[in-house]
Amino acid sequence: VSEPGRDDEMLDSFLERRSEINQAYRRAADEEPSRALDSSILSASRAAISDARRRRPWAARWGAPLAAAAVLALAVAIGMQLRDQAELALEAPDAAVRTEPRSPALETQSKSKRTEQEKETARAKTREGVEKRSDAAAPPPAPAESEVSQRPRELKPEARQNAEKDELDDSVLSQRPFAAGKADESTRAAPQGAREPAAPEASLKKIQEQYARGEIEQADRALRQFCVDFPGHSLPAELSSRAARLAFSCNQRSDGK
Amino acid sequence: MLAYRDGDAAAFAELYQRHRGGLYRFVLRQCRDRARADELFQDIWMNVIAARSRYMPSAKFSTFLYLCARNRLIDHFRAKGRNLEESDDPDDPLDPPAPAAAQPDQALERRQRAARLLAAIEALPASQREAFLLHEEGELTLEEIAKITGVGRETVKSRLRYALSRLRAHLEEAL
Repeated sequence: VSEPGRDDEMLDSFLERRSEINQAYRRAADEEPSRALDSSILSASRAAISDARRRRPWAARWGAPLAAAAVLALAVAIGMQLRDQAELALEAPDAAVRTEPRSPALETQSKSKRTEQEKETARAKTREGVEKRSDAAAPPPAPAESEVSQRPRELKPEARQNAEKDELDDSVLSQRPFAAGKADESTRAAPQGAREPAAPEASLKKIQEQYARGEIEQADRALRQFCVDFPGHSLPAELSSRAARLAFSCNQRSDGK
Repeated sequence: MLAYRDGDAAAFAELYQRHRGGLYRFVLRQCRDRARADELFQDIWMNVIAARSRYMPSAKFSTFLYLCARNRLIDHFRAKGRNLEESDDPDDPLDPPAPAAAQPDQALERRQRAARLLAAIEALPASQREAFLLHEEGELTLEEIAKITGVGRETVKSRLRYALSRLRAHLEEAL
């Protein structure tokens, strides 16, 4: 006859593995699989693993390493891009600083430089106007040939007046390099501060060469500039006659004065 | 098992060492024949090896292992035209204890008591024996036994209570 309280107590002690039945069963039950059975099962487990490794498809074998490599490459690329963006962001304030107004001294210097350029172009414009008035048959300068020929159109009237005033001043003109002209291409490429008037003879030689090459317009302009830069300088006969045809001479300025 | 699934053969060896004795005795007590127990035991482990790629750790490995064992035993008894509940086979007993004359007195008595206990376990109804062995050999809790056998926790508790009562009666008779 089983008693409920005793049965529950026995069950609890059995579940906690401390009952007499647990101990008796532990002592009685000692059967184990044979060594042969053990080795058979263990070798089967190893064979299954090696077989699975052999049968693994290419994608399963290399998928994970390739995916890892792709993720790494992507991360590096994104990192480099972010670094570039950060560098650009750091450079942006520097650029802003560079665009800020410069010091008054620098500003004055650049302003005077600009004014000088404007004056030069204005002078060229004025000369062209005079030339047009005196010789209607003379060919107009090619508009696309230089930026100098376009610039006078953009000048303000007061700048043009100043330029014309300067043009009449021979003393200023004699010291000024023939920057506005296109007589000498090589001098145009030189820095403005370093420009010096070429030796008269060399300039004349270049002008003669230009005429010889058929660069008539350039040669005319160079001749005209020569007469501006070296007023009163004697010209060879052919250049003198050409200057006469173009209605100017190297004595023109000095005569005018 | 997860390590073995990922290709670690040593992990399987460790699992096997941990569970080999308990599982073997669980199978042996159910089928009561060493040769058949060897065959079933091997089949169960082969099933575990084959199922490694599908293994999901939803419970303890021992729960998974004893569920595999139970399913294999059900298949075995079904093939013999019986079910697990009717697995008692009086014509297929376990090895009998050694003759009494060959044993010293104390050792003889121990072996006789052990044989009687094992005989009492084999005499239990299959469901009670199964619950007893799952707890004793598989070291499973009431909830785990209920999960494997597909019954409620209280049913398992009741089965165990009846099993223990019978076993205690056998032991007292033997004394």
